[in-house]
Amino acid sequence: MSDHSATSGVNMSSTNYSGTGTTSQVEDANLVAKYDNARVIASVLQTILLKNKSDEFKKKDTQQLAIVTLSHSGITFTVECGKQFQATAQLKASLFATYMFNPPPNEESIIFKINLSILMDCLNIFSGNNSSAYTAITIIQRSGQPFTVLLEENATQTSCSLKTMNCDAPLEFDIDCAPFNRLLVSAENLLEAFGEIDYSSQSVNIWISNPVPTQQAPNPPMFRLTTNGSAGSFQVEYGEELFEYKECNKPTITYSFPLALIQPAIKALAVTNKTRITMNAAGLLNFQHFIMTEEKKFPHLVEFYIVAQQDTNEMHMG
Amino acid sequence: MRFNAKVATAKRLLKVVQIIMKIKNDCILHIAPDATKFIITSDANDTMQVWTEAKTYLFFEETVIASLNHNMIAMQIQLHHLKQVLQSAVNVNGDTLVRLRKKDGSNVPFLTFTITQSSRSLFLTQDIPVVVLSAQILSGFVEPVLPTNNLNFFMPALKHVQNVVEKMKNISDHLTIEVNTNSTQALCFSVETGTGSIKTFYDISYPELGNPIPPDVSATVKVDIKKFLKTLQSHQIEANHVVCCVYEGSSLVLHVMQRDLTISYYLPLIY
Repeated sequence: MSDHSATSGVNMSSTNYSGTGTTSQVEDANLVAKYDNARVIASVLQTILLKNKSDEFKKKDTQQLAIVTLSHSGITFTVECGKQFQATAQLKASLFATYMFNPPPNEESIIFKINLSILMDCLNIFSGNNSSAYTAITIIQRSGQPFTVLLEENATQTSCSLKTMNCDAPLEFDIDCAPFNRLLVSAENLLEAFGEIDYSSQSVNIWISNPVPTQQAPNPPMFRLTTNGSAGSFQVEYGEELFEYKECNKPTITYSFPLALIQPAIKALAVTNKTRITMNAAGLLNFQHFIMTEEKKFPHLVEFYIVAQQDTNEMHMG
Repeated sequence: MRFNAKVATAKRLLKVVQIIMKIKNDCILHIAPDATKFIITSDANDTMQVWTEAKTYLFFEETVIASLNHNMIAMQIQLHHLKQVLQSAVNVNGDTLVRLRKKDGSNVPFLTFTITQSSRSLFLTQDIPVVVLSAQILSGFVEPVLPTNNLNFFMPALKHVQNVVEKMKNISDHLTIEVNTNSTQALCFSVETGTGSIKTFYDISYPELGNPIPPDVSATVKVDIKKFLKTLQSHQIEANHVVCCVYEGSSLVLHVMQRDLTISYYLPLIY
């Protein structure tokens, strides 16, 4: 596990850096990963960056930290808010043109915390110039050194050094610990549903029910969102036709969640193709977003876990 | 004291005004037969100064200018007024005449612009109040004189640098600019906090000032990132060259140069 490192300890001077990474830098590295399009990585990580430019505060006062997990299967970035919220974005090893992971002996993964806000500014550093130009990215991690990201666009190079901080491993949420109801829906449809609610309210109630058509009610609702705010009560309801797939292990599950903790998952729908929503009878909500990027070979998975509010528990066991 | 002229290309003058307005609205306009200057300065030590000098023909044609001070006239002017007039001039696409006069028997001088649209005989008159400066007061405004030990280089494309530094602004208020002639990528912009740093390296070239650049020279300065970003707005002028002069311990100067026009930004340093 990496320990604290000084930001001034970047292991390269501008004279040595050639943009592709000289072998003297990659020897003894725990991780060297190379990819030719930083924009793809930026668009995936953007979905878990909760504090963004629309904040009223000066950005550097609201820096966001993320847990980085390096393993043979890829690089995972996790953002947590207490024990009620977790967002995870994984960059699979197969995404990278080069992925060399050499952990210390007897360790399967390396975990540390970094400043995700600075990383995002770095990934976007060349954006806004020539939108068709590709920015190559190299990620290097060495024990005792800052997490290093190198970007190259034409003749210009950017190097980002992020201090690695000790941290606990990310929380592990288990959706299967209780019976759940699960839906697969297109992001567009879900975004429309969430567009109808009142964002001035503190929480949103999500209701997923197994629809049983009857003669009197041939198209019963299966998904309902309810908010109660200063503007009154809003409710939006959808039947089965909105969803591509359903799996209901309980006739009805309904819980309320703080709206602020749901919003990141909703915002991420803008770059999502489809999402799988799962809510279990213990009050755990999960979104699995399949993110679309410029890189079309496979979608990237971004996952959100949100824990229901305790004080407004409503559990229907029907 | 007399000044009247035809505005040469309102669009060009408007662009210059729009660029320097971002620094400050109060400005000294100094017109002479050969050169016209816009001077933005202040008493405080830690503020930026901008000295813009152009050959008068770029801004004014058929110029008639006469004064007791070597036919130079200097006046304090509000740039947003000037911008408004020039924007009207650009929209109307006709002739814009300008003259310095006192209105209606009062002693207050105005710069009066008359915009005429030839096809429809449309007249627009706009008066900008100005304060004419005496030769004595004018002599107090002197372009900063800097020590000779400095490092000069050509800036990379300002728009590119602007995009990069805009992102760096989110991380810190202070931007470090480092030049090291020893390196292949000699110019480095960087920001740093306790949790991370970002450095961007550029290839640069150097102006030949008669002496070849010594091989192992370096200079590092720190500037206020927002002030630096304001200078980069000058990319809109599409300069031929932008020369950056680093005076360690003193100042950072950017000369944005086009034919017969130079905008010079003098930035204070942070220590």
